Amino acid sequence: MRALRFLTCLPLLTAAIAAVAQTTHAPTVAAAPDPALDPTRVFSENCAACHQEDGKGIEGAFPALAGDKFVLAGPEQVIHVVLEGRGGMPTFKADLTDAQIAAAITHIRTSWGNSAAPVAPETVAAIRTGEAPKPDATKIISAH
Amino acid sequence: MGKTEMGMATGSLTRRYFLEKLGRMGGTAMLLAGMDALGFGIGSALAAPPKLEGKPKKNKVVVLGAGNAGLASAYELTQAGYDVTVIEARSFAGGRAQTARKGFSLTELGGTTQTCDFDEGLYINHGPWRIPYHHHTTLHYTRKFGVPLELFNNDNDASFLYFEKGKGPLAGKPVRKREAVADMLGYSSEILAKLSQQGALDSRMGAEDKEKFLEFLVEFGALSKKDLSYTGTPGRGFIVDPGAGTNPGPGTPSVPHKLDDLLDSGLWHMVHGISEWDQQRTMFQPVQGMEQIPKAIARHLPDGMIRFSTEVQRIRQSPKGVIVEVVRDGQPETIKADWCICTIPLSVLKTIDHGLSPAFAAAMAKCAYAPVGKIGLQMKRRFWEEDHSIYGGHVFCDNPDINNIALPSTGWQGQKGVLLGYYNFGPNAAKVSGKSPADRAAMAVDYGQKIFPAYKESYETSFSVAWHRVKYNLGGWGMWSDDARATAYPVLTEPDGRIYLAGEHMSYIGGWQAGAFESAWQQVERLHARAMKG
Ligand SMILES: Cc1cc2nc3c(=O)[nH]c(=O)nc-3n(C[C@H](O)[C@H](O)[C@H](O)COP(=O)(O)OP(=O)(O)OC[C@H]3O[C@@H](n4cnc5c(N)ncnc54)[C@H](O)[C@@H]3O)c2cc1C
Ligand code: HEC
Repeated sequence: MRALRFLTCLPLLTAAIAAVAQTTHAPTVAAAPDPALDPTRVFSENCAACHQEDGKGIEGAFPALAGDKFVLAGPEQVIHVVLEGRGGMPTFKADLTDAQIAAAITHIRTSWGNSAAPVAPETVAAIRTGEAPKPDATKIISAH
Repeated sequence: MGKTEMGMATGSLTRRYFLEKLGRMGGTAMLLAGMDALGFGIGSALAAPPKLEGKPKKNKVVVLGAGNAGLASAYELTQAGYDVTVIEARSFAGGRAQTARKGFSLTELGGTTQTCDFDEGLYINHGPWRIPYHHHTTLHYTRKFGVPLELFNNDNDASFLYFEKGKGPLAGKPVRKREAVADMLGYSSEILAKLSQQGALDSRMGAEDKEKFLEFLVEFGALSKKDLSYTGTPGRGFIVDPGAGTNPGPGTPSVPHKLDDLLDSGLWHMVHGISEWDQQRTMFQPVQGMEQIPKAIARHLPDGMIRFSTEVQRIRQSPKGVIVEVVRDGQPETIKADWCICTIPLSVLKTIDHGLSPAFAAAMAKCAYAPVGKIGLQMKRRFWEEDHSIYGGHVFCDNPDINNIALPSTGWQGQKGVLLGYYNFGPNAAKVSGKSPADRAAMAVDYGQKIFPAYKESYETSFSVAWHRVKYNLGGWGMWSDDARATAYPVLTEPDGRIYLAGEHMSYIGGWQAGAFESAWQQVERLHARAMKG
């Protein structure tokens, strides 16, 4: 990953990742839902700057996710796009945990009139190749 | 002559012979590349533009995009006698190599329009801002066109590190980098020296080497020769600086932080021996902004060669040539050429009706662009210089919405200055870019206030950019996963019919101007070799 090169050292926990540190690895404990994994919030923080809060996107740049066939179809391809990125769609695999990705995708599949099945973190984990970012891991920064 | 000396003499003879041969074969570019291969440390493989000799019959080239890759392609092809047209969607040359100064205006997709209102003479390089000393292609053009350079301070020992997420007394405190470096190296050396004195390394080295190794550790870590302990060093700074007479006289030495506290704070993450290859200390910046580079190249193109404010909408080709459909002020036009060099970022190109092969389309989809954000904050007083003696360099933070605050390497000791208030990436850049420009500035100023007491009271005005929301870029730079680099990238380095892709994304120096220049040189050379065959 050539783009991830400067400050291979700079240890940066994302706020979101730090916030879920206690919960993502404790699936067996039935705790109150973690606000940091609230689907609406995960979408707002990570996706809405491009796809917009209303999921309508911006013509010619950011596709609408509301009413989008791709989003409503089987979740595998959607998970793949969020993990790996594609053109102007960034890769999230190094930054978001399985639980966060599942939350974001659940939001886009169940909002704005979309009604497809929610996505579980395990489904994301099954599609991910390579290691998921650890909630408490240091974050590698790319700078130029 | 001793045995080793003989060996060295033979070595250098062989090397010289090899270099002379290379020089004869391929001119200076080859010679310099050869020197690099032999470890003389000439960074990029291409040290001079390709020599394009001979006049091809099919010589009409359309270059898409007037960023650095497009400009260099156009310049080198024009020099070789090609008939070039450059199509550029923006109203200016340079692409990402922009500089925001008074009057510069930018509208992000889904955002409001910002018009920069910095004072006259002040600016922020919201795109590229620094040039490593080994980026020979970039430095080739600054030298060739006389673009004045100044040093960019890429590593300032006096600057602060600010980590909030650790524990202990150093968490949430600005700490001078020199203190963290001196103490971490000092304690590490002390531990290693003591272990080695106790015999821990005896199985690895003989008595003579051990002695030299101990000497090294004493120098490296500033240890006491007597007991190999680390108790501080002048390089980490003083409580009272040395001065005249007897007061302050020798000054008051500073006291090292505790090793536990440093470890708890996380500050050690910022302590390195040698920097990354792309982040070494010696860097340059053009006087008065990065845009001076593309402007200089554009000035050396024939008048009217660049068609500004003209958007590429459709690309087609036949075995005979390339047809590009463009629109300017709502007026469509068709441009025909024998060849095409396309430097449009892949994030944008893949959304255009490009007509490229399915293999190309699939390969392009495997490059994902990085969200990147920057903000320039105009400060009415250079408090970082006046109050803290920090002249340029970076303040690294462990809040990823901010990451990197940078002090300007220009206008030293002037009245005002523009500093970089954040430089964020990935999801953090996406998150911050959802805020209005005013809210981005407020966030940046609130954060900076935690480090510099005069931050907020000095702040005047801001200019921010989120490159992933900038039309005609849709991202800071292309990122190739290992898999995509191995499978997709090689596909795109080959021409698709008569169309050659160039740009930073088509290099292993991605996200640097040198990548754009080198890829342009390489594709121009290949295009020419083919055109010469008729
Ligand atoms: C925040 C940031 C910091 C950076 N820091 C550094 C640094 O410190 N040092 C360094 O060397 N590099 C740095 N870079 C990287 C550097 O900016 C790029 O690598 C380089 O400028 C890319 O040049 P390019 O010609 O490949 O692409 P671009 O400059 O993007 O050029 C592409 C051109 O195509 C045009 N275009 C797009 N779509 C169309 C269309 N449909 N029709 C017509 N024209 C179109 C665009 O307007 C643009 O002019 C940085 C980049 C960013 C974003
Ligand atoms: C930096 C802007 C940006 C951000 C942030 C972003 N996207 Fe995207 N997204 C894009 C772009 C651009 C595309 C179209 C990519 C292409 O050209 O193929 C896209 C495509 C997609 C697609 C495929 C749509 C289709 O019909 O093919 C999905 C699904 C998607 N994004 C979901 C997300 C989710 C979920 C998030 C947050 C975790 C997110 N995006 C964040 C820019 C963004």
